[in-house]
Amino acid sequence: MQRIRPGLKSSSQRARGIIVFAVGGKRLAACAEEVESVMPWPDFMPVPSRTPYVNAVIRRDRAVLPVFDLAARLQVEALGNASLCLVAKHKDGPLAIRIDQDVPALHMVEPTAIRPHRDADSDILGAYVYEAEAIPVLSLAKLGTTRGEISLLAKSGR
Amino acid sequence: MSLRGRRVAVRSAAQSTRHLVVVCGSAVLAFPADLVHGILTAFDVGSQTALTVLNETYPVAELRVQLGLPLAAGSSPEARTVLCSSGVCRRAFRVDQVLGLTEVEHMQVLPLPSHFRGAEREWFAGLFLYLDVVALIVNPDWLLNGRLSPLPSGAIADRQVTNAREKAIVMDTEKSHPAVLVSSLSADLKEANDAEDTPWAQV
Repeated sequence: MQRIRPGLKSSSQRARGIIVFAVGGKRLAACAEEVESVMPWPDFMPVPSRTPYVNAVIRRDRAVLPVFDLAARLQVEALGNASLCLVAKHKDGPLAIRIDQDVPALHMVEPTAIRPHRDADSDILGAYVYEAEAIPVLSLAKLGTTRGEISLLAKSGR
Repeated sequence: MSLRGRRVAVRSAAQSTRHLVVVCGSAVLAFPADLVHGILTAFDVGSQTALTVLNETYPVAELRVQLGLPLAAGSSPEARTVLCSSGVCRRAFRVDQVLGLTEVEHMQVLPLPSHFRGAEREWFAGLFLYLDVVALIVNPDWLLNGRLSPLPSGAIADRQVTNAREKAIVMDTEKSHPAVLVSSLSADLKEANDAEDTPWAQV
């Protein structure tokens, strides 16, 4: 389900994997080590909730995973009839995120390719510049636990 | 296995709990069955804001409202009002549908994922897999002692006002076997008619 971006030496010890995916047409990125799996989007079950953007669960075998509504946070809707489910390694446990049907891509990049975000209290690590576009790199481990930074996400697009 | 080599296989009834599974909005919820003292149809309840059953008064609340869900446009024929009591506190909650009664072993109950950090942690005591969905166990303490949110104005007027005839669905606790998973409501609940020997019929 993932592609290796050609052109960079993956054998470099300093290189790190970046998963590039899309939600509602907006390109986002995350560190590969924070992505547990990508699978077809399953049926979800709403949960009455007051936690922002966490208001559903999905079943994965005998486990129940909470869903983070990243599309709602970005004020967009996931594109395509066959959305995918990205399972993030969140600090509180696995967290499901609905993403567009475009297959995520794996980019091996040097750490310097990620421009750090100035706000430490954010679930955005920085920006990954690719094809002249600054793609926000999310900290999936902290998603939803910080003040958030909607403005940066809202400004970025394809 | 005991020291004398005998296998001790005592299975405590406390290892499992029965739950009444209902639909509320788009969520599937589970009431601990020992709290449930009766189930009434919308026809029975009408627009009453309090029900008096066997000299006990149950204030009626919309479970949707308590959970911050939008109210249904109208009253569905599958809607029910569940009478809940701990012996001290009594409340009745309108739900959209009753799905069934099920026995859940405690080891099958999962905690609400810690990603949920809001009021829902008070609302739900856990969850379990029910058929092909997930049922959220309503916290009995919140259910009976939590502050009730008022109904939005006009909500009652939209409902059909009908005087209740003496009809109710009561829990038949003697029939149900604790070790059997009951997926169908009809197996464990019986509909009481106007017979004199039925306590609900005397109301």
